Amino acid sequence: MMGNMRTPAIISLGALSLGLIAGILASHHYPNPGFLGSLIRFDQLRPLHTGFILCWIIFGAFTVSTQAMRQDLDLKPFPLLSAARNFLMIAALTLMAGAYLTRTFGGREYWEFPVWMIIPYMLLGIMQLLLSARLWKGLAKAPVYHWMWLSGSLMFVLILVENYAWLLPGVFNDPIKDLTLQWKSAGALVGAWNQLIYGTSIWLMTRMSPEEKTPAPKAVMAIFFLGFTNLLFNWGHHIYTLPTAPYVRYISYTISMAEWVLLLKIMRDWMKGSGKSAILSTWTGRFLRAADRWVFFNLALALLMSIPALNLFTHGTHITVAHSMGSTIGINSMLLFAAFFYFSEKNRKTGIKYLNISFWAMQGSLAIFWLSLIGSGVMRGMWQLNPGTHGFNQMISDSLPFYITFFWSGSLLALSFFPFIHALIKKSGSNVSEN
Amino acid sequence: MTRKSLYIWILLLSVWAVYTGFLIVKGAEKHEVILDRSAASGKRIWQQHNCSSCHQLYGLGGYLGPDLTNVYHRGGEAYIRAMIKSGTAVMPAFDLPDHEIEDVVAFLKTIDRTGNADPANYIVKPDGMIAP
Repeated sequence: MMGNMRTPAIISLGALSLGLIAGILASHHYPNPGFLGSLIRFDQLRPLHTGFILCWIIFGAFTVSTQAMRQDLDLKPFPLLSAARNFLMIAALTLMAGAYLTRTFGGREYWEFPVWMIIPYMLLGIMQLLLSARLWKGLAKAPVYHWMWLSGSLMFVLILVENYAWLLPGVFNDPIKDLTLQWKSAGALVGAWNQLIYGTSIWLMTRMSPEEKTPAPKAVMAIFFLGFTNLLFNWGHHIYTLPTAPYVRYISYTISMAEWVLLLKIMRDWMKGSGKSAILSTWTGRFLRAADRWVFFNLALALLMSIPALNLFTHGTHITVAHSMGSTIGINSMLLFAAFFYFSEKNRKTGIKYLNISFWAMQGSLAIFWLSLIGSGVMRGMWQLNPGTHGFNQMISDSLPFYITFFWSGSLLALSFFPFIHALIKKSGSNVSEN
Repeated sequence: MTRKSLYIWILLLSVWAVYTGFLIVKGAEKHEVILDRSAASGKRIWQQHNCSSCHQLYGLGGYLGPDLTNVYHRGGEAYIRAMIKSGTAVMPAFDLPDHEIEDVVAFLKTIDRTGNADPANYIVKPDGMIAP
């Protein structure tokens, strides 16, 4: 499978597997707090889950975009660099897991490990950027996915540096400035890897449907710049309730509302109909179609959450988690699977029964999971706006039905990924070319 | 795709770089509140024990526990010390030396001074924006 892409693909899928297991265990703390006692605590399971999943997303994004770039630009593989990349990925995963299992923290949310352990991630980002740098020549006339790959690679490195601005005393000792920058970089990092993943998806679609009429370049670039502006400046919706100057909130509010254009475009495209039944006979096509649907729901939720008056209700609740997990699972993971299946020759066609069942289990359980998170978020949001009615513990107790639903649907969702991971990892025994 | 697109891309990146530099150097908070040595130490302890996995500051963090932005105002020093030392059914007890607990208290006391994170205290303006 996948030629010299096999090893980083296995590492990425391995990270996903471990992240899913950690997620099942972490989520059980909601209906059953402290169920594993001191063996492994929630403050270890949560970062293990988010850390492994981040590695899945980041390493997956690097892997598929690198492979797509190589095919698009007809580049020869570099065995030494590939080996270095694989080593760095394994090093990053091992160090992170070791830190969290031994409760060696010191960083920030989603990057809780000690500062020096960011080095492998940074080196991977630099390698990705060096590969993408060849896109600069001829960029002015290049297809939009070149712009997205270069933007994503560049911004990943720059924002990863920005992510550690808290090491400066002038930032660390100023808590509001620190929180502002933390969530500025957190939001923008998501945008950076989204550029890599979405760029690869667009490349996939042009490969799979070359006969489709491509949108006019101006329309395509307009959407790209909307997304790029969003990446650079639309982080303020994470911190509407932080006591910052009004311009921070208004910049984000304005850019967020511009994103309604994207939602309306998606709705218009749906009404026109896709007519791509041939593509749906492949797993790539089915995962692309699934991601398309989830983009609509998660974008709609994100846009509503970006209205400050509504954000007041949703901020600090599981509605935020519904958006973040809904996007990570429903959009990014679906797109990564689409790409991995594309590069895996033998699994391009659907028709394998157990995979069909897993696919629908995945979509159905994700829908219930998403709704249960919104439900528990509504409970907490109502409590936050009326705190005098009852205490925090009572609110948690009242939310129990949603936590139980979240745990069981989340567990089924996690398990539904494993048949696809297995299908991608197992060797076919046939000669599979790199392309 | 044209040279004009390239110039727009470079322009956006440049504006981002300037804005980022401005935020790092100047910040964008309404009222500057700076941590003293004890509070800064408390913040490091907060990170070293990954308190954000369960708790939030200004709604940012994990959701298993409550938001602690204004816990100093609501509960006071004794309450914070008691929670750290004894834990609850959900929160583990932390075996911290007294001076580290004092530092965490100092950190939360300073955070409390930065503002009120209670959503119930915000007003909604006609344009949909919120204000404390």
